[in-house]
Amino acid sequence: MDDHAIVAACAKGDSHALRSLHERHARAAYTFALRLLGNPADADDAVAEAFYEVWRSASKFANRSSVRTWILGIVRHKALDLLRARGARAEEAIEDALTDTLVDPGPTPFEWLAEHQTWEMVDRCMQTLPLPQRESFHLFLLEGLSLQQIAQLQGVPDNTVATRIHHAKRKLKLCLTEALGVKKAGPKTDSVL
Amino acid sequence: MTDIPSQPTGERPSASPGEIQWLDRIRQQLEGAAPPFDHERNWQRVAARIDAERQWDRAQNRRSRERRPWWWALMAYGMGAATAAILMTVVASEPWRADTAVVPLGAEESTAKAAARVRLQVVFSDQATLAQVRAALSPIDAEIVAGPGRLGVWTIALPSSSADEAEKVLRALPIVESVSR
Repeated sequence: MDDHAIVAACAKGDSHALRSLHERHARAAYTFALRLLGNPADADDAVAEAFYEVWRSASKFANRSSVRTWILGIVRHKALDLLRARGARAEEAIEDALTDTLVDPGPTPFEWLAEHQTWEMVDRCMQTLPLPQRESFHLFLLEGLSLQQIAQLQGVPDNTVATRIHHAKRKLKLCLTEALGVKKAGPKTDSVL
Repeated sequence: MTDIPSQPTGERPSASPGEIQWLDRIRQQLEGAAPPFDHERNWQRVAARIDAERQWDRAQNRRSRERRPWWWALMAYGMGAATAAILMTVVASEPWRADTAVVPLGAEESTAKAAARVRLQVVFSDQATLAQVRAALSPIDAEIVAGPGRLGVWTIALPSSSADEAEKVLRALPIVESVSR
């Protein structure tokens, strides 16, 4: 049974169908929520809230997007609600950080970074990204969503998403370069920056 | 991975092989170190919310049923039946078929009064207006019973007690050409 049929079953009150959706998408939802919230307990809350919302609004699902994108969109809303409840100024957090000053991370080659960076560094550096960039980068890299899908989910133009991902990459590279203690001293090959 | 945007514009040249390798490594590291997620526990939370919602709905329905006294249904049926009976009665009487001929309520009374009064035949001048005729008849408590006939004669009725006096008054008016009994 495909996702759309499962959502239709949910709309008719079939809780087994919701469980199928949960089995298929809850982990991705949790990873996404954790990326936004940075806290496992809050991420778990956001996922549970989101799937309850899926249950309640299944009849409103318009089939205009994939079910995964729809669910991630709901998770996003719940995560932002939690951020607001926490007292974080979510409106500011989700504001675009396009005015950030881009610092050239230097000519450290990607291959060298790929070889030396650790998961902890990557995770820590991801958390330093502004929320919109972190969100776009996560959805693009880990969920494989297209720019259009991310743009629809975030409610911004496609180019904005492209810009966010571009900035996210540069900042990530800079952060990892610094974490590895490299100060523009790495090998001078294969840099696109 | 080849369509990963490396520039902020609509034109997005493909990333270099090195960049692709780097991003792929990031993806692998993040996926490989995915935080533990207790699927079952999370589902139980969702299921508990759904169960609570269903129980609440059931309780609400039960409460709304219980709130009504035993005679509520009986009364509802009774009121429905009474309404239907009233409607049927109204429909059966076909009020829309009632005779629509208009009978002036004052006509019979005027006629009866006229019979108890003295009648005079009055001819007003051709120049007399209706307002003048009314102004002439009103002070003597007279009312038109018939007319004007072919010859312009009006029949008026007035109290017999003042008939003589009224006749004099009428004769004295310039718009009155003749008065007779």
